[in-house]
Amino acid sequence: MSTSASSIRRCPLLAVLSLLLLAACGSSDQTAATKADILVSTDFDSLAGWMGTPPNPSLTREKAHSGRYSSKVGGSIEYGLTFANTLGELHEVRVKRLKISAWVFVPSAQASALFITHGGDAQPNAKPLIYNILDVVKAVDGNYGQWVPISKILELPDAVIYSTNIGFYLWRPSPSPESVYLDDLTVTAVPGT
Amino acid sequence: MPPLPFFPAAGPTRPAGPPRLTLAWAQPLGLVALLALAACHPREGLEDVRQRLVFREDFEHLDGWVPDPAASLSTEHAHSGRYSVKVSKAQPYSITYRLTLGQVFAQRPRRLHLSAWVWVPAAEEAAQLVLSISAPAPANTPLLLWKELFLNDEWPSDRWARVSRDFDIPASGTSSQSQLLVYLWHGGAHNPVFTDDWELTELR
Repeated sequence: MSTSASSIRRCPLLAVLSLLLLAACGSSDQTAATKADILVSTDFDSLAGWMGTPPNPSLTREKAHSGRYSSKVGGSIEYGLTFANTLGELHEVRVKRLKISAWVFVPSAQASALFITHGGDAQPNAKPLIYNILDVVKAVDGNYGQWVPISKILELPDAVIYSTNIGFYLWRPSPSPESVYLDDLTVTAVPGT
Repeated sequence: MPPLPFFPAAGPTRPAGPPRLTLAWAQPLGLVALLALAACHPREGLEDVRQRLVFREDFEHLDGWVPDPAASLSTEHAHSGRYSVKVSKAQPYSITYRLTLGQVFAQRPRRLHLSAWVWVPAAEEAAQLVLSISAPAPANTPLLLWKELFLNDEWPSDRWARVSRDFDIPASGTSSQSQLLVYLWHGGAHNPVFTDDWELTELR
């Protein structure tokens, strides 16, 4: 009697345990898939110290959304920290669509900053395959003086191949004394394309 | 009779016999109890006071961002993630960690501790991690400190092993503008050498 009673009691527990195990397996698979779709991810903190000499003036501790460092343009700094690599190095399978996500700090409407995605410009100076502009000042939609998340999805042309270079950077197109800051940049491949 | 540890040598005035034995054992026991209490403190708590992380680098997020010689970033071996740092005859110096002391230290550091995971193919491959402190950039001379951490000091070879060393920072000549450099040098090695997960902490 006691045996059957205890097995009945044990059964739901086993069911719950196996459910938990299944759930654990599922979530770890999902995490791995998400991680594989990240092409670029930086909080700029890990770059401090590694940018060579002289130190890159865009890597700043003036403001940060996470950690201590961000990348800025403004004043005499025209170009932010630049990422450059080939698509094949960044992702194992062909990428059709990218999602760019970042946090930006724009002090006022007088500031000037564009987030540029640029690539496929094999020498000598062919027209780049990829050139995309994200106006950071417009993207914050009037939310000046605070950290604002921005994002954009862009399509890559069919002509991109494994060795196509791609770069990302913040650019100050017109002179402005106001600094614009970028932090926590993530570029992911958008699946299902 | 040999003197008891931690105590001054027993003088002639000390009474002989059993009471002396009790006294002699009671105090070490007290010490042991104190040590045991100290050991009960959480390790993290101790580290907060005694150590401060300067940088920890697994080399996963540098490719694409760093200028040359980014060629030292390799995906052939990795202790963590995909990337490690490789030096060889063709590429004898790795990417370099370089910071102005004042950027990371509020006061002059007295002692730094560098550790890394290393893969050396054989015990005679005398590659080394170099920690140096020099005058402000761009001149970078004179060198105030230049010390190496040999990668082949740890057994075994041909697999990941952890190496570490303390560096005493000289007081004279070191200022907040001094440059701190950490890099890997192929040195006396013949075959490629890999390192990963560098960690520099300040001991105080």
